[in-house]
Amino acid sequence: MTALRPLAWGILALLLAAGLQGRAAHAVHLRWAQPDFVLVTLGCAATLLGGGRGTFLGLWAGLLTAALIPATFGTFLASRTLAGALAGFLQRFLIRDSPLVPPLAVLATTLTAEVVYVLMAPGIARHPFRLWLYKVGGETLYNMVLALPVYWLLRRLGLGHVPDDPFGTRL
Amino acid sequence: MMHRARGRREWQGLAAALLLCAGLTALHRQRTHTGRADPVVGVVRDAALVPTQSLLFGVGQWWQGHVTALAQGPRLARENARLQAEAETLQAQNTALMAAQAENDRLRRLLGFERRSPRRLLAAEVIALKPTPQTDTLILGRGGRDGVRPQQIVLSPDGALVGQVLDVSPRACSVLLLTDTGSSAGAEIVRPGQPLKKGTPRIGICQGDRAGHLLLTFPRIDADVRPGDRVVTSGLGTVFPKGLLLGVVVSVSSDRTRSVKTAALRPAVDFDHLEEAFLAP
Repeated sequence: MTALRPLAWGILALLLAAGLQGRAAHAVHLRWAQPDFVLVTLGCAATLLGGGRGTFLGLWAGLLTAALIPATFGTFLASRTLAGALAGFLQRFLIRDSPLVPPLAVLATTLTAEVVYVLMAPGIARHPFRLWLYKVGGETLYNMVLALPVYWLLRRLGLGHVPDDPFGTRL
Repeated sequence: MMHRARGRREWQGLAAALLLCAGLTALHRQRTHTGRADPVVGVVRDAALVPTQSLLFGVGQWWQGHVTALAQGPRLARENARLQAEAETLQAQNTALMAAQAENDRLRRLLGFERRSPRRLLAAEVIALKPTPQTDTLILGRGGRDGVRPQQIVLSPDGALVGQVLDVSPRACSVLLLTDTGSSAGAEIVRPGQPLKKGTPRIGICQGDRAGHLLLTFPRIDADVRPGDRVVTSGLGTVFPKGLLLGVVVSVSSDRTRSVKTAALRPAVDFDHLEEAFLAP
């Protein structure tokens, strides 16, 4: 039960992020940059929880996003699942409580999700390509800035390693 | 050894998740092709997303109605300490009355439009606006239970065209906005009082550019289009009826190489502040 609690928090955090995405993301956009709260939460939560659970969270994030935009259903599912898996794998290579970790994890997650998305649905970048680049660049930077508070909040919720297990061997 | 076993489990998990993705996508495509609602999308959207977004909407309304109003209290207190208690009471009452008045005005406007419209309209609340950066869409709180079906057109309270329904679940539907690059509509120029030059085309194709504008393209370079012209749907095609307002021309450019003329339009709908919309049959 205790092992499932962080995963449940991750699932709830992603649901809240998807809700916020529809209510607040357009209101806080800066020119080309609109944050993707789901990807920020996914990057942080998957890095804290590790491989298998990161993949599961990625699949859940994909389902939440795909339910909002069913036109590219499979593309959202696959891109978010792969991004969650990558963020989960990153856990082995990153020192989790360094302030550099959240932006790096979210950078990797956002770029993976967007590149896989555009490879699977190339039409999205067709009109015009430079605009797509601006949007993805702006989104990535915005997500990296948001990563720190989101990561801190998730740590406060008990995601990630506990103080008496600093190397996360019990995760 | 332990790390290798853990790594193998993670790869197996990823492979299983991707297989699940493929299965869900196949189910979604099969359901979409046969015109039926995808149960997975329906459950995730209706049981998880719609309640969450409705809850957040309520929190947002409460925040605007209470916290923002209370934040003005100290300023008033500094300006006039003697009247602080009275001012706060009056301000709270005023805020409530203004909110009620704004809602009253909005509902009157909606009711007026619904009565004027020749079509039978279904009012719907916007529960999510542009929920992903990749596409320009919104989610309305009406779905298959209310008779909504794909390709229905969506209008703003002023009667301007918002977009068309992409996908329907029992309690909600997603709408592709005009400003999305995947959206296009036949359009024509209307210039009240001043006729267009004879022999010039008045019909073009209106598409979104995802930067919040609409682009109206004419297949001939001699098209008579000027800033200030109003643009409405042409009625050609099977989706959008004739005469729905799209926007106003703000600038015109010519591409002599491709022999096309393009007009940039300011959309008639403020897509970033849309709170409700109407579904037309």
